[in-house]
Amino acid sequence: MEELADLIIRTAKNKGASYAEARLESTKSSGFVLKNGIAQVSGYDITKGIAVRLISNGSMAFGSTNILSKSSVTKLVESVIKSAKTSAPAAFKTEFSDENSEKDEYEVKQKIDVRTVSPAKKLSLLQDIDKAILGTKKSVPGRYLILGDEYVDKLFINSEGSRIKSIIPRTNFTYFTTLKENGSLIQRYWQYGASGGFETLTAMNLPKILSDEIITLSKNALEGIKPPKGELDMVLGPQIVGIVVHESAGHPGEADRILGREAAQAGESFLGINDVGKKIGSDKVTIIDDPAIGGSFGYYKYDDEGVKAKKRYLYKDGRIADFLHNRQSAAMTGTKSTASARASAFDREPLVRMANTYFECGKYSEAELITDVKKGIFMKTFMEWNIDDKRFNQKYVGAEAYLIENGKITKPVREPVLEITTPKLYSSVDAAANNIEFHAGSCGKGEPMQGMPVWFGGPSIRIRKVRLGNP
Amino acid sequence: MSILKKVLAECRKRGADDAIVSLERLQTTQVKFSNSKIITTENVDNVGLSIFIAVKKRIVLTTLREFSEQSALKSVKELLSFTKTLPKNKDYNGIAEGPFKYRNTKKYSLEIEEAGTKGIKQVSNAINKATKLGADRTAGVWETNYSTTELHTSGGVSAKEQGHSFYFSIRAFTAANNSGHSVCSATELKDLTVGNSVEEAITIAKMHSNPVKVTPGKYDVLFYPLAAANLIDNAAQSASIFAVESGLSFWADKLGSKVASNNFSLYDDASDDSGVGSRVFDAEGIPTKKVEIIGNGILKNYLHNTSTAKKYKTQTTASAGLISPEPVNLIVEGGNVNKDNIISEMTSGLVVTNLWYTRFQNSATGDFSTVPRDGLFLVKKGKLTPVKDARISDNLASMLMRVNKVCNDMRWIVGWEVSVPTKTPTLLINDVRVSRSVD
Repeated sequence: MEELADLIIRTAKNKGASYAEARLESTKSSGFVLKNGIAQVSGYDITKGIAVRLISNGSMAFGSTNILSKSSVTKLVESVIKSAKTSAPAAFKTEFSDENSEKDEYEVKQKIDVRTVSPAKKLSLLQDIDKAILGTKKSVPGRYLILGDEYVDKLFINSEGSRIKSIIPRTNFTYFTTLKENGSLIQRYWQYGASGGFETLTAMNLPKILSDEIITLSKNALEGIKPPKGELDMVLGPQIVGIVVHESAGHPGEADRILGREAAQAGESFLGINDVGKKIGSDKVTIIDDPAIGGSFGYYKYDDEGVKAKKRYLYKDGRIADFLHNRQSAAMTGTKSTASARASAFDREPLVRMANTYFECGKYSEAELITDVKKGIFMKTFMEWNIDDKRFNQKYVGAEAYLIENGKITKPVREPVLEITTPKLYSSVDAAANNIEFHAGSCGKGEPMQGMPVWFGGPSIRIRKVRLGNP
Repeated sequence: MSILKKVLAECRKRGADDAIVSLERLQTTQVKFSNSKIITTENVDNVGLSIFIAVKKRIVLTTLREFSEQSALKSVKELLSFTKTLPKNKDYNGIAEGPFKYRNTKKYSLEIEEAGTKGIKQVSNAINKATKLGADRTAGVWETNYSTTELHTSGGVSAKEQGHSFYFSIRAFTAANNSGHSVCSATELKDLTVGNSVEEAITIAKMHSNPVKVTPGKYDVLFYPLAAANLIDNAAQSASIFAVESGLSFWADKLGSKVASNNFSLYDDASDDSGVGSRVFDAEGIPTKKVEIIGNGILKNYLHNTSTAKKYKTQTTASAGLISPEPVNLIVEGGNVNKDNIISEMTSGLVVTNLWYTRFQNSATGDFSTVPRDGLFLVKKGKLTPVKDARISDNLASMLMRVNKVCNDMRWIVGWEVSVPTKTPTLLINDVRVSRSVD
């Protein structure tokens, strides 16, 4: 099949393309759903397809097919060239930043190959989680558990000589639980994911995590008090810090958003392209995105434009440090790509995406952050969040949360609401702990939508003198 | 014999109680633009063979996007082995027994490459028109899909359909960075109202000049169709029996009960060919029909497939989804009120033209929030004043009980924030809670 990728490059060049790339992807995935203890339809998918992206007459065009024959692929390139030429008079003149051409092969190793684990064993993991939830003896009428894995074998080549082969297996687990307690329904959703084999799922200790959470949420519902009013301090746990950095540091730092490319879809950014160096928060705020974290859900060694991945500082010591770039946005702004181009499948164009975004650790323990709060809230997990399309106004509703009085956690608090602007949030950070955690998500962007595996995380952080929103 | 019939025969031969095999080809052409320039075109051609098998209440589903006749037949053997390792799904009750007669659909057809060329021309014209009307910049997408589906089942169903869909989305910005967004969709290119969308997006953007921060509180809110469709799309997910069983519906245990104001009726009508979600048959091959979800405020039906309908001793609504029954072509029944009259008579309220990032805190209760985007206006004695930085933090189930007026400006909406095509007019909803970030 690799010859089809080479055929794409040859045909594109012969037809006058100034740049061309081909991406051949083969994906095997399986999925299992347990709903209230009952196995729903299980299944697997096998996908193989090829994509071409090229620049002709200065305009960029993309195409893909999973009809993998020489004639089909040749026809695809011809149609993509035609689209590029037809659109050229009204098209943006695309250029790519100069990058090294790369030749490499890499594979994420698995201790237990996801393709060899029986369906029964995968389902039994979900059944163990379900049993653990029921073992709490709490009323949990909604238990919707999803387990999935994928094995992605990819070849990327371009007209500049890059040729990169990769194999990345990933696993993921997602759940929705609905707890009935004290006359209320409390709902929780979360996701876990990693790159690697089936061992990554068994290592997560999911039955204990979910059963512990049910017990905690039950206690919160029974004993929780209303959130206090007035100015207070907050300690935000790693889950919340993770979603915060993803939404209000990672997304606004995507250069394609800043340049307006996603204005009608994923939105824009409150940041301007000339904002590097501008103050965004206190000097305790350093936020990083790093695709190269081994075992991470967002792991890759080379992006989908063949650029070698590296650690990127988004915010450093409270200032805007850099943006996430692909080769197009880098060329538009006179810089280099930060290897941020990712496509969720062979039939999707690469876009500027995050990988693993996190708040850099501080020197304190979480307990020390709490000890130094006279009156405040420790918001450990959350139920709901959203943010405007410029990534400026955001909201997080606490799931597991506690009142802090004179440096001690005293009572559970029900549904505290943090509704705050991005500069206010980051300016209020006065300390970060050292208890870093990473959590998994499927980041949405693009049209059609591309759900991209990412990690987000960080340690607990403390923010001073904020006000809670109305519940 | 076609590959599908051979695969179906293999399923039967190897002992499947139920089997559904389908072949879908989806050809998509997109023209994306931003900063008033075309930024890329996309031509995507995807073929998929799906095989659903049930053996003694053990069910499996596969989609092969790489297959030959030989490998598809081999997959049947693998799937049958797969089922043996699974536990029974005691809730599974089979698939539809056919054959069925299907309605005739229009045979509109446009060669996909020709459609792409027309798309590039329409986008170029739209950008030029927007610029002439005063847009500083525009962004959006023009898209066409051409799909062909063939389906055969062990229940004696054989069905085929093909169809086009067209979709256009434009967000226009003024020099001061005020924005308006508009979308349109159609099943024939001549019905795609690109020009109207350009005008609407720019009109809203220009009106939204020098917005001031909104004051938090409760407002009567006029949701224009783009915003209303976002709410309806999210609410209608609660109508699927799968969502009800999963604890993800705020209409659980509400069948026959009042769930909306008397003037509110909601249908899922996959047989309405004007909507881009329309289809002749569902995933089991059952002819689609108009399904009343809410009639005059009363929850009339959950959405079912054959299996779930048997479990609840009711009739399928032809809404399969093999995994989950689902809405595909939603329609809010229009009223007879003109939205401009509502505004002129409004003493105090808000106009929301678009919504963004709608998320549930709890989909079993309907607690949620969503962020108004683009044109947002405070109404005082019939006069509009631009405002910004609002968030709607309310309960969606409760909001449907507070629908005060249903307008007459029905239109189809689909887009980045509205995944299920939804035909809706402007809705006036009372006492909506609006919050704002601390800064």
